[in-house]
Amino acid sequence: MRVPVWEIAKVNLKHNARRPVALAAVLCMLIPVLTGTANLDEVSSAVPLEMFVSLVGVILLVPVFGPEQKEEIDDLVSSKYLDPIRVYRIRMLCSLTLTALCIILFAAYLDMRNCKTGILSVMGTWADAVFLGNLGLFTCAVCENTVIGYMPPLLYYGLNIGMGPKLGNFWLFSMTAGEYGPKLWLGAAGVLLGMTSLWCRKYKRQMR
Amino acid sequence: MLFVREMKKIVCSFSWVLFVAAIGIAMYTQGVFGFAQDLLHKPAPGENYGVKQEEIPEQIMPEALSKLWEEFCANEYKTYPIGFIKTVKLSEKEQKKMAGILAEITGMDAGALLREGNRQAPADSDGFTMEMNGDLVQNSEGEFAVAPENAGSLHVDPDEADGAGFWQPSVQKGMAYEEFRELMDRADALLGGGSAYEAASLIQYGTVSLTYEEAEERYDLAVNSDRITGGYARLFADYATVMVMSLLPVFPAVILCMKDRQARMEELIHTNRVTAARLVMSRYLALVAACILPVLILSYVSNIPLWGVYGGMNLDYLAPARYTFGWILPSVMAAAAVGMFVTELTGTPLAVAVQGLWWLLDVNAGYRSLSSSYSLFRLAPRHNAGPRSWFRTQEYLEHRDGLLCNRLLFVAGSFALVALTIWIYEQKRRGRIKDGISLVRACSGLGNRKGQSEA
Amino acid sequence: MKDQIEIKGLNKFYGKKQALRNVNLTIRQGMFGLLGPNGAGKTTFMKVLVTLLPRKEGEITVCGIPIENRAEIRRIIGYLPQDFSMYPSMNVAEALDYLAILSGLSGPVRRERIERLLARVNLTEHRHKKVGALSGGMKRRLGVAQALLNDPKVLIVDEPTAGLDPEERVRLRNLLAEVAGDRIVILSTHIVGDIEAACEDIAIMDQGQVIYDGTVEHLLDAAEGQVFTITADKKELPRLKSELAITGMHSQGQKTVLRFLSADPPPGAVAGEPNMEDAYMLYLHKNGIAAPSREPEEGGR
Repeated sequence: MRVPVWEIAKVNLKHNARRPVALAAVLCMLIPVLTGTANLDEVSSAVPLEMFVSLVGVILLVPVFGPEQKEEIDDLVSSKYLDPIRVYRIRMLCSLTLTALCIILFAAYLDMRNCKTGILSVMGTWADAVFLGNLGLFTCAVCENTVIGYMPPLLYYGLNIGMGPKLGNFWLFSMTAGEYGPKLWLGAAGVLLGMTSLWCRKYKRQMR
Repeated sequence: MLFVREMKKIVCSFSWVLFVAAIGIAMYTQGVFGFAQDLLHKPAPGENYGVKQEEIPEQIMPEALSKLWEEFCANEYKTYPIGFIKTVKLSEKEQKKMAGILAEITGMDAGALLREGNRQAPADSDGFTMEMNGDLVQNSEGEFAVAPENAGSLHVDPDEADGAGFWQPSVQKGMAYEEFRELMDRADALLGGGSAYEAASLIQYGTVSLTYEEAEERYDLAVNSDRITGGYARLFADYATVMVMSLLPVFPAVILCMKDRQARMEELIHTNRVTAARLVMSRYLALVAACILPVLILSYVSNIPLWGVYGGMNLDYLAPARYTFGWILPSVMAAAAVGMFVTELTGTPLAVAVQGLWWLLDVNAGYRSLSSSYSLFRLAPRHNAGPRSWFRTQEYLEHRDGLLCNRLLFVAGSFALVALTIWIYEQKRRGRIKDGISLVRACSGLGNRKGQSEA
Repeated sequence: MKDQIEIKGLNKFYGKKQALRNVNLTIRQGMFGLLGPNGAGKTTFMKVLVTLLPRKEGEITVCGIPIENRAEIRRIIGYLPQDFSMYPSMNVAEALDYLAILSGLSGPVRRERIERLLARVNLTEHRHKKVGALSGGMKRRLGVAQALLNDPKVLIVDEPTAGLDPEERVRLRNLLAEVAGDRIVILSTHIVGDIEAACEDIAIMDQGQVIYDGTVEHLLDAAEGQVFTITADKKELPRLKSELAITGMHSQGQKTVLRFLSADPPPGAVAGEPNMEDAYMLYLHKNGIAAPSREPEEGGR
């Protein structure tokens, strides 16, 4: 059977992603008030991108399992033909795309304001976002609670402000020091966390 | 008892275990369990006792001017209006105004300064290019100096010998410090505030080494007033509040209230007998108690090893408890109150975003502060600025009243939010506010009153 | 393909707690009633059948398809969970549409079937209402509609009438009887009246075991001669309540008429015609592992 990707994505955008997208938009619009977004070189542009725009990943990825947090709804949709894991995969894809879109739009805005950004900055920010978001999603999968999922990414973010480069390849703000290497690690860890979240969700149901 | 029931609900959840683990890990990374490796000792003559910042006009005026000139040339001013770095680029007109300020400070012609500034502007961001006339000579201090054709001197700092160089204007003779401060304040206003030139920030340009007597005085104060362990407990409270306790309590609060919404029927049965005020208040107190308990324990875990190290001295064994309740608790109360209030109001986990943003702004503003930051609205007061800051007892004592006002304000504000939560809860129970009211719905309702009345 | 569900030696554990003990059942076409007190394991049993919960031991085939083949099982099963709930932001039509997508229905089929089902459960005019704003009865009818989206061979309905007012309860029972047709319908309930109205074959569960598997008629026959009524003074009530297995009572002036089960009735008792409620209570009393309890239903996380 064909997986109705587009139909599910449409329902997801209308019913689940609307609030997170609105929140992400509010965050993006706040950034120019919080920090400089004009005439920045590549290293300075990393401040708004890494320290703020990357949080969009948390806002958009953490609620992926949220709609089924209520057991009755989870049971209902899980009793249908289509495997819920496929639905989650589609939702994750939606969130990852929306995250990328936010980052690209913001980078374009920076570019308009005479800042230096590039594909590397965008990819690096996306790696941060994917890592933070999937760290939260993984927590959701383990705890079966969406709210608690926001805790580890924020905590890790705080840790990055406090510890900085000591975090080595997992330092979120490495682009502010002109380093792009850690982004590979963060991106890979993010993808791994996302996959583990799905597996965990599936495994937990089977283990009931 | 209601309090016990709520407390049990919180403590027996996996999310609370995660919460405690998060606090433990965050505190560990700040090194609070290794205080015994950083001991306070009586200063000995001839040591380096560190530096302090002092308002020394002769030092501050040239340093601040030099910095301003550098940024003026590049037309790239670093400011921190609300904690985060903001690079400001002035328009041509504003640059002219800045040149005017510089002219007043240096006694030179504004137009000439503007021309010189433009000339020294970096050609592109890849590096600086510079034209020099004359021979390059190294002076006795290791600086390279060149005598240009025009008046003034160009010098190149050996560290930036790969291309940067500035002719530096100097403060005109006889300028009063007060006047200088005013002019710098004008420059700050031109930049939109939060620059290193605002009058209160100028002190950072004046540093002076501590004398033996001052170091000894500082030591005596730490021993007699803080009774040593007090200083360490204050450092713990500082880290705990800024790292975790002004943010994390929002999570158990939101989780508890969301659970309540899912089991509203059950709660309604309870609230038939219990007033909304008692229920919400019991829940709030249980939340605050459940959040503060692990911190209190960790505070002692961090403090107790010092008791042996400083054995025989007059130590303050109650300091961890005092700082936990006096310093950390009000922040915990605020975060928990925001969590309960916003969740009850919107029925969504929006409180996490609200508290998260508040924390983010506050932490960044706090990090930036150069000295103790106990301003009235500071969510997480900071004392730890600079090395060995927990010895700066004098500063703490001087600002203790400010801290007290801040903490009392947070306690009062938290209770006000809880009172509002009770009101909302009560309205919902009476059916005056429909369960699940959301900001989105409330907003759309404004535009569509008819739709709302049908609902 | 056989139109029946066969269950052999089914065991299910939650940790160390055994929720289902050696369940053996054959369920044929028509309405099948699953009775039992709260906590008997009915919900767990149904969730295993719907492949929502894995089993520990045992063999299950649904219309010839082994339970391991989850995708195929889900294709032919319709399920209405005990507490039917849907994303609150969706309206009735959107909820059905989304669930139809998940059921693997293509666009035109989806639209046609949703219209038909909305009409059948009498919700057409409420199609734009938010799911969260529906009354209990309407919500349950929406639940029935969604369970029929894939035109299932097997319909599994868990406690459909719990919490409904009498009028809605009758309406829902009738609806279920109408849609049963040539499907296998498994109806779990702790309300005897639900079963009495529609089912021929029933099973009674208690503490995870099937303690009765047969027809309603047979269960009623077994209770013959063991149901009595007695008219007593209200003062005597506490004593009688402790001595007799009472199944019902009503006031008659200053007196109370008690209906009770007994093999050895006290003097003054009059033999009565057993109804389904009596028969069920008697069976639980005699064969139940424990007296009917009022513990919360298990099967949760």
